[in-house]
Order: sequence, then C-alpha cells, then structure tokens
Amino acid sequence: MKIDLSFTLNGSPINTSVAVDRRLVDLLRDELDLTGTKIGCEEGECGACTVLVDGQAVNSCLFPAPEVDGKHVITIEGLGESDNRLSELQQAFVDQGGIQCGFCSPGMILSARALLNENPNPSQDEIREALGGNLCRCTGYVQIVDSIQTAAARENSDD
Amino acid sequence: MLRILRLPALDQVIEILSAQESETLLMAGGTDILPRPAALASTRLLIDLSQVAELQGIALDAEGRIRIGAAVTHQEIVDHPLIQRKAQLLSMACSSIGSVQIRNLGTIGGNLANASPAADSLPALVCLAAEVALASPRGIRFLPVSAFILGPGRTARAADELIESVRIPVVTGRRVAFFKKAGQRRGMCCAKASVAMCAHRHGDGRLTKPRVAMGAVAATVISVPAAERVLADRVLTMAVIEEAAAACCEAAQAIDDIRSTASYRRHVVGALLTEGLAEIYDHMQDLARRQARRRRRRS
Amino acid sequence: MSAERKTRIVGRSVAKSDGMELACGAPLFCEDQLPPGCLHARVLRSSYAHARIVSLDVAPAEQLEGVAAVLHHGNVPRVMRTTAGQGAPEPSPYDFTTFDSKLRYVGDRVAAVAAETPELARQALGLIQLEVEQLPAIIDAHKAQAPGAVVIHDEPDARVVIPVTYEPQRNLVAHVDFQVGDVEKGLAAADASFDREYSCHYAQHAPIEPHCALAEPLANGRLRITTSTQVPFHVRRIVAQALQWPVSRIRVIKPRIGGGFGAKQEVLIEDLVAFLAVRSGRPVFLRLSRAEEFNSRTRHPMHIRLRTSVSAKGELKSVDMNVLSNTGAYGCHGLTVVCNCGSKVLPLYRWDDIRFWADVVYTNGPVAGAYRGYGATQAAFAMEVQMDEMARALGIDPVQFRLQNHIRSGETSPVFQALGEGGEGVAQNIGSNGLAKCLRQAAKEFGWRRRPRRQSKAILRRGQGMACLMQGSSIPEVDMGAASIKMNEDGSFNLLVGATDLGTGSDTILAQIAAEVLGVEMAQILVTSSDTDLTPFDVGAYASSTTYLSGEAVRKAAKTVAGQIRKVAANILGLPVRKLSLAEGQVVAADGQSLTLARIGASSLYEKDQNQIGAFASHTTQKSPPPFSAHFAEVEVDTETGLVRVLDYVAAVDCGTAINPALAEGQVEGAVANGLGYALIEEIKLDERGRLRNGSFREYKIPSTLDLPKIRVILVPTYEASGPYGAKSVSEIGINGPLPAIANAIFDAVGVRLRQAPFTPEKILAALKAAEQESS
Repeated sequence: MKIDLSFTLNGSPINTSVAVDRRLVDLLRDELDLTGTKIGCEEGECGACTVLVDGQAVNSCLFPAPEVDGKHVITIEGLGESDNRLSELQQAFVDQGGIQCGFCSPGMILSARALLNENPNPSQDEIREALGGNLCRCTGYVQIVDSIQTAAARENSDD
Repeated sequence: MLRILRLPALDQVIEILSAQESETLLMAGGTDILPRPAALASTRLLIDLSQVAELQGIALDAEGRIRIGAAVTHQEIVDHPLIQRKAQLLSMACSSIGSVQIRNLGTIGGNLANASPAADSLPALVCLAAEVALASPRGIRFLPVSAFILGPGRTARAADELIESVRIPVVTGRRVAFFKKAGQRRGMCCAKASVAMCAHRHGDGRLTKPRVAMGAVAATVISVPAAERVLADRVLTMAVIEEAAAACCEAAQAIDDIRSTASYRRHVVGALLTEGLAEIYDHMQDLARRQARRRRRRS
Repeated sequence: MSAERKTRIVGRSVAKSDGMELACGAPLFCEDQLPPGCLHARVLRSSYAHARIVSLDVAPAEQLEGVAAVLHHGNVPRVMRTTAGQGAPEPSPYDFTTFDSKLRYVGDRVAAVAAETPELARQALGLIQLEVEQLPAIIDAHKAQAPGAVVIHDEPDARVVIPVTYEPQRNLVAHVDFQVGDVEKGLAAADASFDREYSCHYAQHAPIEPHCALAEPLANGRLRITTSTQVPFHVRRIVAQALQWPVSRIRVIKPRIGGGFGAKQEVLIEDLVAFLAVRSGRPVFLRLSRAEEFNSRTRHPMHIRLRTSVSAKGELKSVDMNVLSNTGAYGCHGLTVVCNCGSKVLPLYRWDDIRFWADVVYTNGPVAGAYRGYGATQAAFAMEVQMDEMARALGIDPVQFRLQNHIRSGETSPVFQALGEGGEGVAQNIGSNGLAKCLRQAAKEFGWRRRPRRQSKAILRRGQGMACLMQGSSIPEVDMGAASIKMNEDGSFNLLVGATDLGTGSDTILAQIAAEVLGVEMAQILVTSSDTDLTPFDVGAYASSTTYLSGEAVRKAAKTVAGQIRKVAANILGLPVRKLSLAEGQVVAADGQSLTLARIGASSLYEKDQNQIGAFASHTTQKSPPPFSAHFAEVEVDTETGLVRVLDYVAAVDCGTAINPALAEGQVEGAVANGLGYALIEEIKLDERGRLRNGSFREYKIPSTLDLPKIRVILVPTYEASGPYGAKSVSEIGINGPLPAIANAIFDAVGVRLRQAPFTPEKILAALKAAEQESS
C-alpha cells in the first residue's frame, strides 16, 4: 500500500508516494537518491541517519516515511551554500579534524546544526550533551567538539 | 498486508479500535516499534497517533491537574515551563531518556504503553501520583500509573482503549525532587536501576508526603512505602538517609539479566537514593546557613 | 638515509583530502552507489554453537518469486582457506570454506540468498528447512583441551600452509614457546617476584558502517567487487581462491569506508556476493545487520599468567608470560595475534631471562580476528598492571620505575629475533626512542602526583594511574607497499597507491609526502588508492604499516619522478641536473633561472623527447621500529555505585615525525576512546549455549560524547631514520593504554587490583566488598 505525500526537502517541494512501511531513511536513500544519510544500526542508537524534521534532530530510521507529509526536512545535502560552498559548520568539521572516516559525519553535523540553531554559543558540555545520540568510533570526539565550537565562533562573528 | 491509518481525531481512533478484533498496533513516536520489523510483520493495521489533535499539548485540565497529551514527546515535557515549575521530577526523568533524537520522537504515552520495567518516566510518574486517562467508547477512565502497569510489556489497557493523556495533580508548596539512574554508560542507555523521589520541604528541615519509586529492580516500576515511612515528617539527617536507603535495598526484587546483576541492583538503589537525598540534605543545610546569616544581618 | 631537515608540507596539519566531499554527504560509500537492478543478499546463520547439518532443503526459498540464487554447502565448491586478510602464504590455518556441512558457532553460515529486495531475501531465508544433529559445544577456552573434549575441526582437510604447530584434533590452533636465559632460576633468585593472572574479554570493533560489499559481473566475464575492506589485494586473492578463478578476472575497489579497526582485515562477505553475482549474473549487494556485525569478528579473549622478578633496587630480572588465547570457531589471526602479545610487549623493558609461551585454542564461541592493538592490548594490560604492582611493592614511583627499565636507542631485545608473524622474527636495534620524553612530558602535563587527593573515607575517590606502551611499524620482511606517480601537463601528478585509507587519512599523508618531495602544493597531487586494476600492490591497512611502509614507497617513487623532472629541465635549460632543485611548483637553478612544472609537463608530453614522466616504487623493510607511548589517567570511583568516571587522560606518543599532526592526534584520540570503552563498558556476553546476549547498540554500548573526557594528546617528535621523513606508526598503539592505566588508577583510588577486564561497576563493588571483608 502506497500513500501520497508532499513535503519540503532541503527547501524544495517534493510530491511523491511511498509504501506505508517505509522509513524516512528508505525514502531519502532509495527513492530520492540522497545517500548522505547513513544507515548504521537501524534502531536509533548510532545517530548516523540523523536528519532535521521541522528543525528537530530525529533518527530517520525510526521515522515513518508517511509522517513527513507537510513537514520540512533537512538532510546533509541541504546544508551547503548555494554556490557549491560548504556551510561554516561543514567547513569547520573539515578544518578541525571532525571528520575521519566520515560515515557518522552527516548525522553528527545535523545534530550540531540543530544545537546551534537553538543555542548559537554552546559550551563544551552542552555540545557533548547534544551529540550524545551520535556515535563515532574514529575520533574520540575531541576534534568533533572543537569543530562545533569553531563553527559557532565563525557563525557568531559573521552576524 | 500492513495498512497504516494516520488519523487526525480521537473519536476516529476509538471507532476503529472498537471495531477491530486484533493485530492492530498503536504507534505514536515509533521509537520502540520501528526497530522491530518482526512486530510490524505480524501487524495488520497500524494506527499512527502522532497527528491526533486530542493527544497533544500540556495544560491544566478542568480539575486543575496537569494534562499531558499521550502523543507529547519527551523533549516537549523536558522543555515545558509548566512541567518545570510544577512537576520538575518528570522533566528530570524525561531528560535522561535516550538521545536528543529519541526524545524528539518518543512520547509519554508510548513509554507507558511499552511498560518497560526500566522506563525512565515511570518512577517519576508514580511519585507524582499521576493517572493514566484511557479513552474508549465508554468514555474516559482514570487509572493510577501503578495500577495501569501490570508487568513487563503488560498494561491494564483494554483492546478498545487508547491512552489519551496523563494527569498529574498539582501540589503547592516547596518541593524537592530527584531522579537518579545507574546505566551501562553515562550517555543514552537503559537503566540498570533508577530511583525517583519527591517530597514537600519545610523550613524546619522536615520532609512530608515523600514518594519514592524505583525502576528496573522488579517486573514493574515499584513504589517504596517503607522508605516513604522512614522519610515522612522527619528532619533529614544522615541516619535517616541511611535508613531510607536500606528500605530501598530491601524492597528491590531485582534479577540478573544482560545489563546487570540482582545483587548490584539491590545495592545500587540504596546508593542512588543516598546520593539524591544527600544532595537535598546539602541544599537544605545551605539554605539554613543562608537564612541564619540573613537573620544575623538583620539583628 | 635522509638527514633530518626542514620540511614544507610534511609536518603540517593540512585538512584531509576527502574531508570536503564527506562533509557534503557525497555518495562515496559502498551502499551509496548500488547499480540499477541490484540484488540484495541475506545470510542464514546457525543458531547452534556446534552441529552437523543432517538435511538442508532450500527448494522453497529457490521457488519464491524474486529469489535469484541460493547458496549452501551442497552447491558451492569446497575450498579450504582462511578469512584472514594476510600476506600469502597466510600464517592462519586453512580451516574455513564458503559453506560447510558443520556449524561451529552461533552465527556460522548455513546458506545465502540473493533476491530482488532485502525483504524478499529475508523472507526466503525463513523458508529454508534445516535439520541438524547437535554436538557438544565448548564455550570456555579452558575446557577446549580437556581430555575427551569434542573436536571442533575434525574435517580432514583443515591444515596450515606454513610450518607451524597445528593440532586441530586437540582443538589447538597454535602453540608458541621460546626462552632466553633461565627463567625459573631468575624468578627464584631475585629479591622479589610476582605471579598474577589476568583476563581480557570478547569485544567488537563496532565500525559505524557495518561490513558491506557489492559484486558486479562485467560483460567481459570479469567480476568487479566494491567493498568496505582494509585489504583490497588480499580480497582479490582470497575471492579468486574461493571461486577457483584466476586473480585476473577479479577487480576489487575500496571506496570510502566507515571505519575498520581490524574487522575489515577479514574477507568475510566478499566471497558470498561474488558467488551470488556469478550464479545470478546480476549485481549483488550485502550489508551485515548490526546484529551480524557484532558477531562478525571480535578481539581474542585471553587469559594471561605473568610472572616477573625484580631486584630490591628496581632492576627487572626475569619474565615469564603464558597466554591462553581463544580464537573461537575459526583460527583467523590466532597465531599472529598471540605472537604479538610477546613481540609488542616484552621488548619494552630490559630483562635478563625471558620466556613466552602460548596456546591458541578453538571454541564454539564468536570468531576472533584482527582488532587494533592485535594482542598487544591484552598483554600490555598484564604487563603494565604488574609493573605498577612491582613499583609499589618496591616503594619506587611507577614513572621512575619505567624510566629505569625501558629499552634504549641502540639496544635490542632477543624477542625481536625470536617472535615474528608465526615463525621467527627479525632482529632489530631500536632506532628512535622518545619514551623517556613521553614519560616526562606527559607526567608534567598531567600533573602526576601533584593533584589534590580526596580523603580515603569519601564516597567519591580519585586516583591516578599510568602505563607505557610500544607497538611496531609494519611486519618486517613480510609487508610490501608500492606507489606509482605520473606527471600531467599542468604540473599536477596522479599518485596511485594500493594503500587503504579507512578514514585514517592515509590518502592525505601519502599525498603530503609526494608533495614534499616534488615541491608542489597538495592540490597538485591527485590520489587514487585501493583499486586492484589501477593501483600498485599494497598489503593493506594493518600492522600499523601504511605511513611507515607505503609512505616510504611514495617517497621513493616521488624521488625518481623528481629526478626525471630535473633531467627534462636540464635539457631545456641546458644546465647540469645537479644544479637544479624542485620548489614551489618550479624547477629552480642555482643561478636563479626557473621553469614551472607545467612547462616541463607540457614539454615532456607534447614537445620534445616525448616521454611520460612517472615512476613506480616498492618498499619492504627489515625492521619494524616501535612507536612508544606513555599514558596517564585520572579516575573518580564512586564507592557506592561502583561507577568509574575518567576525569582526565593524557597520552604522549613518539610516532617519529608526525606527517600530519592533527591526523596523528586524531588517531591517538580515537584509539584511546576505543580502549576506554574496552576497559570500562564494552564486553560481548554469551549465554551457556554460545549465543550473543548483547549484539546490538542497545545493549552493547560504546563510548558516547558523554562518557569520555577531553583526551589530551602530546606528540613527542623523534626521527626514525628508516621511515619516510622520520615517521613511524601511530594508529594502533593508543588503544593499549586505557586497560592498564585505568586499572592502575582504580587501584590508586580505592586500593583494589582489578585483573579481570572490563572494570564494570558490578566488579568494582564486588572487589570493594571483598577487600572490606578481608580487612575486617
């Protein structure tokens, strides 16, 4: 059984239909070819599939695809600037060593985006709290936390 | 063949529930259902409750109780000023559930329906004397949380009933509360054991109407009347704390499982209660000292 | 041998070359690039720890619409081999075939299905009828060699392909024994001696991307395999072996991969997608579920008895290390991991007498394999905890005790000669050695013994602990890395390396080395890596080899290319070659004349004496220079809940020259984080029937942001003359520190010695209780 849905994906309207038992991650990867959202555990524990729905970080492996109807979804593909440049946040991850294998990075960056939208100047502890649902096995998180602090500082100085 | 119904109104859900025989699954946030394809495979009809208008919102009801709609997410509870002011214990407990992402999806109704012995919200709800409002064609009935939860994954909800909301009586006066949890790690995890406690605090250092409840040390969340009796109407001292902690250890009916051992759980509930009460004790000592200083200045 | 000199790009923390694409979420990983019409594979796995297949009926699965192929022991040729991705002939026993009629652990392969969708494949598995005869299972390694124990590998064709001890009829995978001096005499004669037992547990690598692989049959009869692997060339060889094909018919490509840590040094699923693709004539993709990943490969659980002796003045005398290692149902890496227990730990200190002896046994537990640290993790735990115990018994500061006894530059250890990858090793003298500096700098930075202590009655008690470590850099006289470089007309270069970047940044640091030699910026070096059709051979990413070995191959290739460039320039300028040097994208003459590389590139390709400027180079090594490291940890133990909180962690490491300091620090931070997980929270638990009880991230927790302190890394530069620009390795060593450093810190805090990892709250409370009862 398929149902029709309309939603906004990375700022553009999407009209599609999806099988009722699909998850948002399946819709994004398999139907819409946005493979930046990763599958790590399929039970909401690793955070690799994190996307923003109406500005909030959610696990897209736990999000029924039909429920995005009428909502705004942001994935990693929607974070960059219009002229093919990275956003400050993405750039900070590149500059500060926040990326090793890069598999957790999209989810990590989106969780950080949600945090910075709410709290433009987070402390180390607040960053660690906000990223508690995003596992990384490569970095030990040190340079990820640095990346987010750097991004916050750059974004604040732009304003 | 799985069908999904996404319904906007409570009466529509109730109508379908009363007509369906079985194999109907209710889903709000989906955080417990979607990771289990097996559960979905045996389901004919999935009713998505996330859009039901009547299941939303946090507000005072006609009787002056806090009403939390069943589809309210954990994060909404954590952030809501009414909860922070009047039911802070629940806010504390919900903030230790899962990750940000899980708290943005998971709901209070789902946490109740799932009836995990380790659910973080349940000890807090029991302490706060919360009631579950169950809607059906017969109207709404209220059950205390402790009567609603029957066992691991088992509740008193009838097949044609739906968790409509949770109601929490509002209590006035100065309150103290804590939620403490021992888990496999500090970050998101299920509790090996948890303790929630709230009470009225009086200027003379007494606690009254204490409520203590524990998670993950029995088949369901349990309250600890023996510890409550120890604390009631007593000035908090280290001796009182020790006595109450011993009552918690005594009350635990813990088992060995993948997360921990029975003996650790029995011990740690006492330690968690002690830790929480000691913080309250320190806080009250601090208050008393400040009061004394103020009095000295005035005189 | 190059002298230490100032470098331009080597030693700089340039951003990772793949960082930008990864930050955009570009489709770079295996599962991001599935071709149209791709089938999905699923594997039916044994739910028995030990059983013989009596009957297997796959017909109902084959008849399901949408199922393209079903594989099982009845329709796949039996080719004994190992899954261990090691150089050939492999030191691991040939005790594995694609499908066997015997099941040896819960999770062993029964059948594999390829179908139109993952759901259909899963459905097909459910239709397969399996009947087995259950056999007694061995879960406890101590029981594997008991008289009358069931034989796990009773198949007559299980064998070894190098001359080493292998007695499967006794469940013995490997046996090692060497002695220098007279240990018993040395232990008896010394002023003080110690005899303790330690144990380490099953744990999983938990890369965030599970194993995944895609096989595509090509129109020309070849097969292209895109796989999340650390060892593309070994995958090619081993899949060819399984298919009984020539290597030439297989191309293996490693795309970006989501972490490996040793788990992907195993050829675990590539044979399955290859067979399924060949049978169906269609592309086939397989990704392990997280539950399967947890049961894919693990760290070898070990039981170690360590006996040491020491003089009253604190001079180490004799050491006797005895290891019982559990390799689970298959022997992959069994021998080599246990050899590393000795070879990467015993040479760290100066001993008069040394004995190392070990048994590796089969059980019906999860299969162990390569895991970052590779045996050194387990043995360093025993050694460094015992060093702490010795120091305290003698009243010597643990840092001082290490300073007094550690191996020095120019010295050797008989262990290097005695213990190699299975057989004998290669003698070497220690070259660069910054251990003393590591100890002093880290102790100072950390505030060793200068921090306020809580009173011993407090509920929260703090303690400090430390440990010293060494590892190696590649396997001497075994490993090989190669590189090729060609020049383009704009002065850019294609650098082709077989080396495998797992996210570690090896593509970046190899480009840095090439850019340094060629005098160009990073943007001028275009890296292609890990494609068996295009890039030269490399053993792959393991044994801490890439920087040291592949890096030197790149340096050699770049040197040759630089020579060719100077020659072309010399012809154009009419100057002798020796007067020319490469800098800032130009060839510069002593008299100030210069030519851009673009000019030289264009000339060589289009104008005069046309010739492709380019070179190949290979590198092997006669030594494996150890990186050294000193770790310091501060913990706070809650004596009521048993929880250990790591308050501070400082790791100083001598990795020679850090080609890219930020990436080197990232390696150490990640390794320490992984080690802290192993020390405190991570443990695979089995039930009595050998089933994993916690094969999910719900139950098996790895450290999150909230569980780790801000790990502080100090790079202590030394110059290793045998490595590229003085570099040694850095990737593995860091994981070995947390077990002993945390155990020693816990002892410092609460006075109990934990010798059984991990240090869970349950164990700590039990130990505190036992200590209390003992003292009262």
